[in-house]
Amino acid sequence: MSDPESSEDYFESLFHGAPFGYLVTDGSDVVVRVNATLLALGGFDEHNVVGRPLRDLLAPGSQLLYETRHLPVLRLQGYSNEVFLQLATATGSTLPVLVNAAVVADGNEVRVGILDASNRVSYERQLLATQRTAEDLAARVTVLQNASAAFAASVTETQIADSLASILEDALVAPATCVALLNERGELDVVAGTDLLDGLVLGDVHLLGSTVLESEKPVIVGTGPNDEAIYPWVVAALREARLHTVAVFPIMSDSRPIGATAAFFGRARELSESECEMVLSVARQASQGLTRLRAQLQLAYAARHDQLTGLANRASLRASIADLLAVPAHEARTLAVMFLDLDGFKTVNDRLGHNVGDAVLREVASRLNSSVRYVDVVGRYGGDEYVVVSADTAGDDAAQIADRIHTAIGRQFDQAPGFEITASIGLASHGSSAPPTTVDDLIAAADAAMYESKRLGRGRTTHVRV
Amino acid sequence: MPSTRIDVVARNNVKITGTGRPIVFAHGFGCSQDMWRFVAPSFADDHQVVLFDHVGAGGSDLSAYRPGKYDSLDGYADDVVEMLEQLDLDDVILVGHSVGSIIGLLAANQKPSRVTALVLVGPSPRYVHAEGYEGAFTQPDIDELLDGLDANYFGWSHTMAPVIMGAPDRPELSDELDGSFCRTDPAIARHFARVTFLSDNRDDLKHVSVPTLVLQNTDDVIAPMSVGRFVADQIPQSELVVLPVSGHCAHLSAPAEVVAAIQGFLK
Repeated sequence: MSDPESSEDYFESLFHGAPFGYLVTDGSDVVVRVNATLLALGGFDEHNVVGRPLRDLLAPGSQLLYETRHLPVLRLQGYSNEVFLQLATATGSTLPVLVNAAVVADGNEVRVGILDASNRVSYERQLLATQRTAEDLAARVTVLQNASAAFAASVTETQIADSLASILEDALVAPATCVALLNERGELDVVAGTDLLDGLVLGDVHLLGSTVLESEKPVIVGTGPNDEAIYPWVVAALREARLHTVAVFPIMSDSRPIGATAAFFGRARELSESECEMVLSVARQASQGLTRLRAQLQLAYAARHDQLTGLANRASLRASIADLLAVPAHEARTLAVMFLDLDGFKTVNDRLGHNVGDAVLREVASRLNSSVRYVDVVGRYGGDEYVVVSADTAGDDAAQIADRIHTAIGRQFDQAPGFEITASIGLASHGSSAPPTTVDDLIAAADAAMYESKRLGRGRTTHVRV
Repeated sequence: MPSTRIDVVARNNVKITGTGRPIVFAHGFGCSQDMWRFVAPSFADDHQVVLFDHVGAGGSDLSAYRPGKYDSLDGYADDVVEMLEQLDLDDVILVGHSVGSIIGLLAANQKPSRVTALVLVGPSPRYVHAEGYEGAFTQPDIDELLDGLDANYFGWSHTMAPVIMGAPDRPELSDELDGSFCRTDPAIARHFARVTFLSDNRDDLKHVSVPTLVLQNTDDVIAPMSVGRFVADQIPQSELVVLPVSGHCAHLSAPAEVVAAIQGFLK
């Protein structure tokens, strides 16, 4: 009598009744035997399974992984464990399974165990979805935090633009980004990153940049079916640059666009709504940083300039002279300081009022600016007193500048017809080899020389050396 | 010449054997240079055989991974070009499998002066169907693949599950490098899958200027016959050879046929 536990029937029932799917393939993935559990799992008929590649039992996405990952590992390693795949069941639905496989018989047979993983998978999916959401949120918070730290630490517009470009490059996984800001003429200048489309996206006012600035909304080119018709030049330029997608976002300050930022992609890239929102809010942060910087620049400008005329103010003038004096003796430069006081201005102010007086002061500022060299500093010292600082200038050269000023100021003022206005100038020059002097001494000397000019009859220059 | 010289040998885990006309093998998604172990040795007698891993796979330097750079196949192709230049390889036969064949093709288009023959094993310039093009997959199929990747380990974590079937029958392979075949960083694999299966390089085919062999398997769901024909039609100097092989990895399942086809092409 044979042992019932070793009978063929018993092993047959062990095979078919195993609590997991089990099948055997030949060396080329074709199913040779399959157990009843697997047939039940997938709702398959045996004759539809045997003789076909195992791959055909899988959903298309899983076929990709099966062919590119599972089979190579199996062939190289002899086994492949815990591969997660989707079975394409007879009803058309998919069933998540875990697959273990081992090669036996010199590679002519592969034994495959297939375990229903739907419970595990639905649980893992939920975990994964929660984890993904948490990760996405955390990543976004990190991006925004890093952005706000980078923008706060920036002291120039270029730094802010550079930070914006590199933050977006990382956050969007873009091979390149660029940032363009509107200049005074209302045109976009690329100030950071690389414009891979060479001026096409942001440089040309007729193209994407202006579209984005007008619509104040992101524009993505390269993924839409009508992009070629709407943006033929952009699509052509993308091709030329070996790119597939460009996304351009407005940089909004309050409700006004102040620039645009572009991300370039080497393949067709869809951007999710949340990605677009993230970019827009980082761009908004950058614009807040820019606004802060521009306000600081304005304050710094105001601190150094005379509000009425826009000329350098007293503090700024003194600083300019101090800078020129504060060099080692062997680098000392010749320096001329002109102190100028208007003659006849008080009468204009008294008779025609302060508004006209102010207009005359502004006109004098403009005439002074056009009488001196580009490198000279013109400032308003107070009231109707002005100072001109000229480096590398002494004696005759300085006197020539003073003469030009006399001519310019002597011309009729349209703001005050019939009034005669002239300038009394005190010119203090300091030679490069003269003994060291100070800002106070130079200004005091020029001021005293100016009074000498007044005393001698106005409208003239008195020259002293310090 | 760039002033900062990248060590391509370390970055791409380059392995060189033999001497002669260089033959470079580029692996595809999901594996590493391990893939070529049944094919590459056949060329070592009369060729300089160059094997390497794409950044993120096998023994490559993971710290060289830059998401932006590798967001398109051009980033991978740039690495191949750097490799050809730094190793000063000329008259190169570039053999690529699957996405590795497209990477090789892009490198050949960049450097036709160095690459003089291309072998594309199971190439597909685009996996997703498009108007007038049968790509084998739909966008939802690719989404399913990308979803499924999260649940797979890619060989970096040691599997804890008991092997439910008999011991592997090829101990000489499994003992040597237990559990380490086709190692891939899981995060990079996810990104590489996205780049591989969502890229469209159809326009690059017509710019191939070197003699090209397209090896097509009779029954390949990843790169079906229609795609192989499309590739061969688009590449000017190409030859399509159909191997009687099922599946996507002929170099693993039918290495002798692949070797014979390449040798026939090179004659």
